[in-house]
Amino acid sequence: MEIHQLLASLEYGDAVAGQALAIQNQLRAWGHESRIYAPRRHPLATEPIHELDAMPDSSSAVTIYHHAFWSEQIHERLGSLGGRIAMLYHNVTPEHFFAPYSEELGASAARARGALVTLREIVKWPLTVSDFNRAELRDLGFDDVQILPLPLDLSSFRAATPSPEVCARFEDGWTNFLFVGRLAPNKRQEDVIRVFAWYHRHVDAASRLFLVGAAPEFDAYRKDLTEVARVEGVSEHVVFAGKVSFEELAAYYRVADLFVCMSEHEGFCAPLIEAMSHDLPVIARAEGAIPETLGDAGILVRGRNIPKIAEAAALLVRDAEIRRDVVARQRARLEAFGPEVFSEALARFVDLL
Amino acid sequence: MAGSGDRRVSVDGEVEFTLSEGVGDASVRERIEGGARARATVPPPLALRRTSTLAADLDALGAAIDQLRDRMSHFGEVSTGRGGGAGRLEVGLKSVLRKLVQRHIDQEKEVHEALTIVLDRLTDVVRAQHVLLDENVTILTEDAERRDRRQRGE
Repeated sequence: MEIHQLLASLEYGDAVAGQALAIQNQLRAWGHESRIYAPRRHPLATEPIHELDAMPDSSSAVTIYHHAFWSEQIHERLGSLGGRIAMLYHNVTPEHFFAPYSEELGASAARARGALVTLREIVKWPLTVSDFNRAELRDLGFDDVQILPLPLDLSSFRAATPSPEVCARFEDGWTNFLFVGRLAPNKRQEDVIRVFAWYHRHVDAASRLFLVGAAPEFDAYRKDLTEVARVEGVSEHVVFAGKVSFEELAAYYRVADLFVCMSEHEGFCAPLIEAMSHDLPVIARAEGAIPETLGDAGILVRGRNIPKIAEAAALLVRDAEIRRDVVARQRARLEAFGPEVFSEALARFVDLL
Repeated sequence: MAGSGDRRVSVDGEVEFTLSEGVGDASVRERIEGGARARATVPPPLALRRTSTLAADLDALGAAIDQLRDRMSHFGEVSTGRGGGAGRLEVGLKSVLRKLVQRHIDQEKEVHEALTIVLDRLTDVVRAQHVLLDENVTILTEDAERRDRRQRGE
């Protein structure tokens, strides 16, 4: 069978690209013909992609379309395909997060959410990665939404040697907080800085925060974060690492003591899985799909009581017994994202075709 | 991993997590609430490191100056360990020799006095910088405490 995938862009190291590649590998392993079609590819992404114009119009081919944001080009192509379309919904960040920083991105997010109404008419098999996303699709009138979980693929980390430069610079006995995710208003990195600042001032001054991830489209938000760090008096101790290589990312996970996620909207939050797989205790805001991704592992927080969140961080860093227990629960939680769970869900989908 | 003895910890619904049976004591919740309510500000480590290093350097400098002053106060004096006539003879000979090199001694003493003045002024400058740095640390710490009190709504 021909089962191809359609993406707006094959990014480097993000969850959508990771899942698309895992799907392709698994389908090929089962003997299906499978290619990825995308108009763009991140310069660091080396996997081959194919031009949209080369997509087969054959009525026998199935197309899995990954929906995460708006692309006119993609939607035109989808409209011209036959009726055998599956949509893998990765969630679209609501526009109100973006609009204060970029009218264009806010409008793009609104169009991507609006497009779901059209997609409902042409998508035969709706798929998504979490119950949170499934509930959104059901509210929009999608029926029989299947869950296709993100695959836990640690091969890139296993193959990567943690950057010696990052390790040498930061393995110095200080307590290191970490958050990984693009700098975007829905991720609420300002709250991560505030939690860290409280910990830094009240618990342990020998501490620092790494914010790994870039977002050139949110330069104004990046400036706001710098200002928050200055006002909180922790500018010297907040490291904006930007977009990093796998070697550097592996090093940041290695030198970190704690993963803090204050995001207010996530369709899954893959970095939580990465953090748990590196035995980093996690504190995360109970928003979007985060409670579902964490299960009974990690620490969930609600609201903006920064001192209490920072004290929970102190508990994880300083109480060895509690830290061990939380990390053990996180390891157990990872079993829900094992490769066999992913391949079984993909097999169920293929059986539907 | 959910076990029958698992304990759900909730701090006013704002912080929630699960612990296994026997892990953590009943005070976990109080530790979070109490810390958030009452923990004092810890001093900035870099400033502290600077001031403590500076204080140690100042002490060492002071000791060196005292030693120098002590040696200079005896500069040009003659003495003997012998008693009686032999002692008087030795002091007399040394005094004659000292007078012979008096001019040289006076010049060296003037140089050492000038050096002492320079060192005293240097000490004053460093001491003033030390006080200034301490004041800055205090201001930074008080600012941080005020921010935290505002954040806690006090």
